[in-house]
Order: sequence, then C-alpha cells, then structure tokens
Amino acid sequence: MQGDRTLECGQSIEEFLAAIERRALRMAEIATGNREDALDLVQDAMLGLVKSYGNRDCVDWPPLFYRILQSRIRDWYRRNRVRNRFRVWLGGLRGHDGDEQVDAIQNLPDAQPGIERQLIGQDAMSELQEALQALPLRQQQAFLLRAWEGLDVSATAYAMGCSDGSVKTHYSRAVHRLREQLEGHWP
Amino acid sequence: MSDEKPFVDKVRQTLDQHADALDDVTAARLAAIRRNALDARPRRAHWLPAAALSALAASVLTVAVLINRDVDLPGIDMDALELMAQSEDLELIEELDFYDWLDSTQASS
Repeated sequence: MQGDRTLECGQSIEEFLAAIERRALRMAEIATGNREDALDLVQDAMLGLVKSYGNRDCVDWPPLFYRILQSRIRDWYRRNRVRNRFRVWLGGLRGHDGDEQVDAIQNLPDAQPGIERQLIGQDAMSELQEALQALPLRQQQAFLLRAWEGLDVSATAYAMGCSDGSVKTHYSRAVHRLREQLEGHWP
Repeated sequence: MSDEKPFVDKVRQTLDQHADALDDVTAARLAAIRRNALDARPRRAHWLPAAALSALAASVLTVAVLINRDVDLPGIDMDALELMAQSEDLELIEELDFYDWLDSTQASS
C-alpha cells in the first residue's frame, strides 16, 4: 500500500508533511473552490495524522494522510449541501415575505463562464482547474491521488475508502472526461 | 494506459507548477499549520521509565526491611502492649488495686 512519489523512507513526519502540504492544499482547493476552507481541511488532516498515526511506519503516512484529507473533504461537501438546501429553503421563505426587499443587483445572473474564462486567461492551469472542478468528487479524488500524488490503486482505494475496482472506474472515467474537455487546448 | 501517459504527465507537470507557484503568505500559513500539528503530537515522557524503576526499587526495599526487621520496637514494653491489646486484660489493669487488696486480705486470713 504505497505510492511512488512521497515515499522516501527514513524521513521524519515533519519532512513528510512539508513535502506534501502544497499538493494537499491544491487538492483541497480544487475540491472546495475555497482557499480558507482548504487550509482548514489540510490542518485537520495534518493534526489527525500526527496525533493518531505519527508513530506508524513512514510508508503508511501517504495513504493515511490522504484518507483523512479525503474524508474531511467529503464531510465538507455534506455540510455544504445541507447548508445550501437550508439557504434555498430560507430564500424561498423570504421570497414569500412581503416585507423583504428584492435586491435587483444581487439577483443579476453571474458572469457567463465563457466571459469569465476570457478574463482569467487561457492558460493551461485555468483550463485544467476548471475541468477538474467539473468532475464528480470521487472521479476528481481518484484522478488526483493516482495521477498527481502517485498513489497506487490499493493505496488510493484505502485513501478513498472504496474498492480497487471503484478506483479504476473513477480514474478511467476522469481521464476520459478530462481529455474530452481539454481537447483542443492541450496537445 | 500508455496512450494516456503523455496526457497524465502533462497534467502532473501543470499541477506541480501551480503548487510551486503558491504565494508566500499561503506558504507561510501552511508552514504554521504544519508546526502547530507537530506541536500537538503526543510526547513520550522520558522520565517515566526511570521513575517506574525507582518506585519498584523503593517497594522492594520496603518489603525487604519489613520482613527482616526485629519485631521489638525500641522504648516500648511489648508485654504491656500485648496486655493493652486484649480488652479483658485491660479490665484487670484497671482493677489492679482491688486484686492487691484481695491478695492482702487472703494472706492475712
């Protein structure tokens, strides 16, 4: 159960965390779309690893760390879904309230993605980030852990809390969708 | 799989560049988060084995002393202590004058 990227055994837990922290932050950021939340999630994952598994063999740290991080990301998704439902419900309730002023500016639609994309720029990372964020969470997790972090199938399955077969399916679908989406922008 | 390798390599390279380009403020915050996490790690008390060994040695010494020591305590009359430990003998001591008188009466008669 090991990946091929972060495993230089003999390293201390501090060296391990320093080696993966930026990638972990970017992963959490891609998943949540929010840097502050991403920092909180990385903090939780680091604390969890150090407190519960700091004494484990260093080859176990990558899958354990990403298991905690992915679990926190899924919790974040669940909380956000409940919060958004509550907001929609509350918004509907306020919509029926005669005293509530309707803010015309707030109700304007967001900038169209195409225009926004032009403003952001057509660089490779913007395209990639957009494509990754459009993936279902499980596909996104499988792809980032396998392709970026370099975890093998069983370590990815452990980190995601699913079977090896599910990882292969999620990963394959993710690669297929990303290639479709990035075709024409990427070689 | 080999067909997708160039694409996956390109993705990894792009993500690496993006991660390396993290701004200084966020990098400093990450480092602080890491330090805080490391500070929270459970520390082993290095004095515990020595303390446990000392306590064990003290216990063994105490037991050895108790087993081997002389039961006579200095300055204490052990017969009197034994008498005091029995309630009926205590009554005898309390009425010692009576028994003295009884002895003298019987002797004179």
